[in-house]
Amino acid sequence: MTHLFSIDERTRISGSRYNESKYSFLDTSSWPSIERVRHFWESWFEQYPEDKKSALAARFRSRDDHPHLSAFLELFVFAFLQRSGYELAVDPPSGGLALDFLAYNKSKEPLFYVECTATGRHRSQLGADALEADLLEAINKTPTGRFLLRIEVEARGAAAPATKPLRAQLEAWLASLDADEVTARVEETKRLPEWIWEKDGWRVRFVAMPTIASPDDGEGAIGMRLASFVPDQHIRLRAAMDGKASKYGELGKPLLLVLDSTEFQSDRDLMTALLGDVLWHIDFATGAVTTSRKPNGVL
Amino acid sequence: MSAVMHGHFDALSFALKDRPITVTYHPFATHRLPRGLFPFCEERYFDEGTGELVTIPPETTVAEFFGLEAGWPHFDRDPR
Repeated sequence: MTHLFSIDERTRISGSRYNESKYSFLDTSSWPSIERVRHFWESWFEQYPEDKKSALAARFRSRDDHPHLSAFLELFVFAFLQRSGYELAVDPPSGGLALDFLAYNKSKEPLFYVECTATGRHRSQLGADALEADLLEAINKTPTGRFLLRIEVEARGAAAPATKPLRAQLEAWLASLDADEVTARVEETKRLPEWIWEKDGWRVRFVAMPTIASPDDGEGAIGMRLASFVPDQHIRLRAAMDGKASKYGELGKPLLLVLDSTEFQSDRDLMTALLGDVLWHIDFATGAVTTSRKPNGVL
Repeated sequence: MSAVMHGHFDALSFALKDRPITVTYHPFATHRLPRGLFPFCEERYFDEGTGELVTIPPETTVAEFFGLEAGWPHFDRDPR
């Protein structure tokens, strides 16, 4: 018999760790609340078509949150459609492809298709975040004297960079600069000294910002980080919708696309994905400001 | 595509009140999905007369929809 969760006795009382997968915590916690959650989803899983169970359970049990969430979403949709009273076909074919569900009424009349998609950053991207965080931590520990650094990671390599030579080169570059001279020159040129480090696919732009105060206070080398947060959730949402909206061609019935995400996506992200990017218009003659949408939304 | 249901929830958090789920209806869908099928969702559609986006709040919560009592799964009762 296929289950979503293991049937071992659980003794763990600690909470979820930051670097732990969603499934791992769900499967190992002995908290009564988590036991209720497991029981709830196992009871819905029991009603899932027998021949589809093992594939769904395998994805649900993934230690990667993305496939886990994708499988959970299918089970959630199955549950709420069943509870709404629909008859369901799981993996109904369309041409050479299969959608997730086709909902029927009690008279077996097909009503609408449902397709589920988990969006958000994949593990490969999250791994790159972790590599960048390690790199920034190493840079931040570099003695910078009377400078703070403005940093922009312009490209990410596939593997962790060797930080020791980077720090040595960075220190040498900073040692070649005179803070008073840079301060005097910036008033004239409006430019700060820049240095670019490139290695194994990584490209980091450093700008040295002279500090007026005393030498290095040990508070860290990075004073400013550019593009540390890229607001691109709406782009992933839009790509997910675009991919599904046209994938199956003419279905002859309505298609409901159900999206869930491993990352927080605001309401604004959703509406930007659906309606298009916001455009601002300023009438310099009157000072009037209006907005419209770029025609790059899904709708 | 006729409509998009969107949320940010998982197996643990789906019943929490701070995880809203929305359904937005495509204004030009070839095959329109009837409104009001999912009472736990906030619904959004474009009014055909005015073209304005109309928002309808959910009729119930996800927890109520599934017959779960308030506060389920009761994280507050866990022995920690």
